[in-house]
Amino acid sequence: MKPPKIPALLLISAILTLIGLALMVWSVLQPTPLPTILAMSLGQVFGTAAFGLFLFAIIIDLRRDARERKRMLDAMAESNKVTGLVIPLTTEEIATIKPAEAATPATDATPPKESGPP
Amino acid sequence: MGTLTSDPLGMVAVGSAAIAALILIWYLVRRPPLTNATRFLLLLGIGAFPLLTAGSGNLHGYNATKTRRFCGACHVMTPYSDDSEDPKSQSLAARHARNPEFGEDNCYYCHADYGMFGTITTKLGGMRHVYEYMFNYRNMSLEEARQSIHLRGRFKNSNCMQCHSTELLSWQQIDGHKGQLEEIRSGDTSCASSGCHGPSHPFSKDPEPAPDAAPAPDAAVSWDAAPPVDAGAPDAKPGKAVPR
Repeated sequence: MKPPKIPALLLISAILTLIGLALMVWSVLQPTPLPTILAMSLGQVFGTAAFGLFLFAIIIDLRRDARERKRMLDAMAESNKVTGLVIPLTTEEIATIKPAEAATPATDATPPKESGPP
Repeated sequence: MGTLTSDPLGMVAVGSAAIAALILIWYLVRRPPLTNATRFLLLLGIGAFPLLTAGSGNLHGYNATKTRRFCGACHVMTPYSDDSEDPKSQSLAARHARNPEFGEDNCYYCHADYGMFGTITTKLGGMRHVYEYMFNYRNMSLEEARQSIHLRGRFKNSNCMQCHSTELLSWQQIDGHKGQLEEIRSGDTSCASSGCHGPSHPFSKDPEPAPDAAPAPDAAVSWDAAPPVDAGAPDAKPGKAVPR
């Protein structure tokens, strides 16, 4: 079975919502039996169905995203470049890393000149 | 529109519906990619604002179903609602409609079932009215309808006793009430019978031969001939609990 297309689900959901809202507004503007009964029956059905479709579409979308992310991470791990967010280094690579002496500031460095009064 | 401006619930319903519609029309026209921002906007447009519309709109609709305008929307009910609105009418319904405690909702206050599930049974009865109208009375002329439409059951005195508790001494001292207190309370004698305060509306059926006992609540009586007895001020406001 083909998975449902999310844009189509959202399109149907949006249209159903608009129909439900129109029925509800009609019943508010013209509070007579027919609009009121339609709003409280069909309007509720349309609105509930629309919200259900929206939630269904979002859940499918989020699950697709999660599946896609997992697939990409698996593919990266297989290519031995990246595993998750940690970059694995070999012992030779670790040995080549210099200590942090380069990062310490030089003591004899001349302090920056203070700008005098103009 | 008058009900919209006077009812904040209606304004909330229409306002939130308008915002939701704007979001949805924007989505339908632009069709943006489904980012988190789009998802959030759609949650507002399909979820939050329509829920607000449904909540306030349903409450507004529920209140609207109590109004005389709603009851009089079906053409067969227009004589009844017109009579209620007539400031010169002496009918029981019109006099109750002039009481500000009943006002616009006078049909509902008198015809609603009371008790724990009264609202539900009243609404179910209302749905049956709609069904009857759609399938039986919709194309019926007003004259035909006047002759054939009738109350399904006897009008209950308990509806009157929501306000007229029958406990006040001033009420009990009225001649018509004195000897029939138990019959009135039990419903054996109808308050809305033609010999007492009824019929409530001046549009009733032809008089039926009622040889004995309490007259039928819907029996026709000419208002010109027999004006109803004024029951005086109610003992309590409608909708309020009345000690019995």
